[in-house]
Amino acid sequence: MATINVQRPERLTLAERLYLPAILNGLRLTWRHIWGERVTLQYPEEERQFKRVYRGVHRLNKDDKGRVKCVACEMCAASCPAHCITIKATEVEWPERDKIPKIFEIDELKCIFCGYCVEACPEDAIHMTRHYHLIARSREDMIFGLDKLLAIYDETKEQEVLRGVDFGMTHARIPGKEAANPDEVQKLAYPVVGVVTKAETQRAQ
Amino acid sequence: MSLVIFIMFGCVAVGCALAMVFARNPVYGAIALIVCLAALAGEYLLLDAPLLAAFQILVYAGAIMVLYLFVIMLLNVRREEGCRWCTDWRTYLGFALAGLIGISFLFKASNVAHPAPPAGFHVYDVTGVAYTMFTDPTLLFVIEALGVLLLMSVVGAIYLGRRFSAEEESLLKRGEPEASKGKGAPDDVPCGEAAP
Amino acid sequence: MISQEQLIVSLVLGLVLMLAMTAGAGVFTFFERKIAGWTQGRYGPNRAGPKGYLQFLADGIKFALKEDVIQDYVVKPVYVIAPGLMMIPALVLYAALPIGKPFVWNGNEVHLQIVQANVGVLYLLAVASIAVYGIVFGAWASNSRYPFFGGVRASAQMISYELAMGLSIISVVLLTSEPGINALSISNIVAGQTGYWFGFIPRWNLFANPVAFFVFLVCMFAETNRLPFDLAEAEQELVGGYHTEYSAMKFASFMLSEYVNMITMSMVMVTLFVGGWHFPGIEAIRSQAIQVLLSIGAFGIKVLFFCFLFLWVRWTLPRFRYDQLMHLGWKALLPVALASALGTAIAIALRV
Repeated sequence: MATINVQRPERLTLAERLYLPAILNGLRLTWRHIWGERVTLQYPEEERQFKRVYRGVHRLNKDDKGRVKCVACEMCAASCPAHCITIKATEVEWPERDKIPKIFEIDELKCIFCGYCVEACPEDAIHMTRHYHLIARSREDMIFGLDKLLAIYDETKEQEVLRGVDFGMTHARIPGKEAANPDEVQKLAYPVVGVVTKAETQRAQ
Repeated sequence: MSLVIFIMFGCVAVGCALAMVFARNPVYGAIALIVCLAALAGEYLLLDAPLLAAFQILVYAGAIMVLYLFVIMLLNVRREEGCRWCTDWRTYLGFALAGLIGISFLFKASNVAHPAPPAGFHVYDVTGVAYTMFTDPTLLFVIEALGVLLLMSVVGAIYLGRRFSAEEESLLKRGEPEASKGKGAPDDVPCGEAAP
Repeated sequence: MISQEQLIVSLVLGLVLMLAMTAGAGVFTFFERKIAGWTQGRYGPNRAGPKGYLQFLADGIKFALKEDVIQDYVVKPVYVIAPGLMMIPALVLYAALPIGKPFVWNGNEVHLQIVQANVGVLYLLAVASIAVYGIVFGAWASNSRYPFFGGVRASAQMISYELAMGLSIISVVLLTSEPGINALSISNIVAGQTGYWFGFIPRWNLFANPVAFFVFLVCMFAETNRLPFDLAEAEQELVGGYHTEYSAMKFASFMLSEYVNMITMSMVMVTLFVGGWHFPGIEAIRSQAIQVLLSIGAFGIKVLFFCFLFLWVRWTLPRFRYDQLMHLGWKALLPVALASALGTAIAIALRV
């Protein structure tokens, strides 16, 4: 066991033994805090603003024709450490694809929000949004199906979210996809939580 | 009106005193004693002696009885076992003595000549009480002697109750007891977990 | 004999103060939480009612509607009366304190004081000394280990600090005492603080004997079992202290009496050391009514300051250790208080 030797003064000075100077100092400090800034977030009114790479609720992307981008390759399901993704494929006669998912379910209660599915996806079809309000009245409701995941995409279409490119590996092999910028990857490798106060939000608006 | 209250207080005091004697649970006994003392304080108040009443509450109900309760609670004194009206000879002796005192009071109380208080003397007047206390030499001696006695008992209690360190233990064996803490800071005020 | 006017004033005052104290205690809990929040960079309760100001009502309603659990193992009669015993001293202590300048009504002098006790100071001490019973009985009747520890700690602490407090009050009594004046009467103590030194420093006992003031200040915290001396409720060690086994209204009355105690102790503090209703410049006011109202206001403001001090200190200092507490009480405050009483006596003897 590690032992840390702390140097303590042999004797306290009279001022220290009287407690009083220290107490007055403390009172001054708390006095300043009473009139100081409040750091609490008033949750329903104010929300925490996260960085782009925050790993929140998943979404299933749509392609430019408004169809689900997923090709039901089950790479995400295979890479998922929590086994929370269920995919049932169905065949289609589309020029660029043979399969699309008939059922695509993510059990958000099982999910550990690691982002491996995003990393694994060769089609950049699954992203993680910055939504963190995950509320449901039952366990069944927490299993998000195709409709819900696509609906989340519609909601967050404009948002910059966690993409496969942020992991910097997958997309180098896919033609036509933007290559990863190593600097950006380094910077955003972990979703850094930042707090934006109400005043700042207003200023930004 | 005040006579009625006086009698009520008296009944409470006597009732509580009896309850204290007969209570099986020592804590209930202590509670009864506290109420009895408080009722006595009420009697003093009605007799125009607020100073005495305040001291009664302050000293007896506020300090001494708290210590009693402390001891009872800390030692976890059990309920008394046995019959309620024990046919112990000591009980009868107690009653006999109490009756004797009561009778003597009845006879004597009516014809004791009360010395008239000095002019301008009020029982609530601290100055008057202090003046009497500190000018009458016999009274002063009695009070001082009582004070010394109390101090002695405090010193003795601390000496008996303190824990000795190993060094002091050896000193004691050599027959040179270290002077006990004169004023006796009661470090070991009874408290649940003070004793190591 | 009490004049009729005095009787009316006393009755009205009694009623008003009683209500004000209980309501004030409720509001006090709200501000405690609010200031707790502020010192920690939070907002404090701000949801119930406008800006959260109805939080104390919500708390009260919650306490009233909760299930009142009485455990099987408690000593029931004592358990039930203990919260009441705690409330009584809290609610009678302020009866002897004058809250405003005495005035003349129909030719009778009327004191803004519920009871004009001749031995007011002793009354304060006596009531304060029986305040410990609520805690002791509550703790014992709970028949459970941690409440018992809490109760024993609280009572040992209160007994220890009562001594130093009494001695610091003796300094005040000595400062007031003059031939022909009953220095134990609280209205005389306040009246003795109404003059000025050098024409501008008020003759408050705070300035006359700052040592006694300081000792009383510390004892005030210890007597009300507040931080830094709230070992009786040290959650880390004792679950919740002497009221662990209490719930609903019984617990609420323990809490409430704690807060009422704080207000009363602030009132005692103001009365004994900070000049009571006196404030510099009160003599310059001509109208009696305004004088009385302003004196009540000055008293209230001073009391509020000390109430705030309770909260301020609470959120500043950590809790003392038990041995530190006992050392402070017996080895520091008691000798200091004795010395201050002696010093005051000597000073007065030399002056006369």
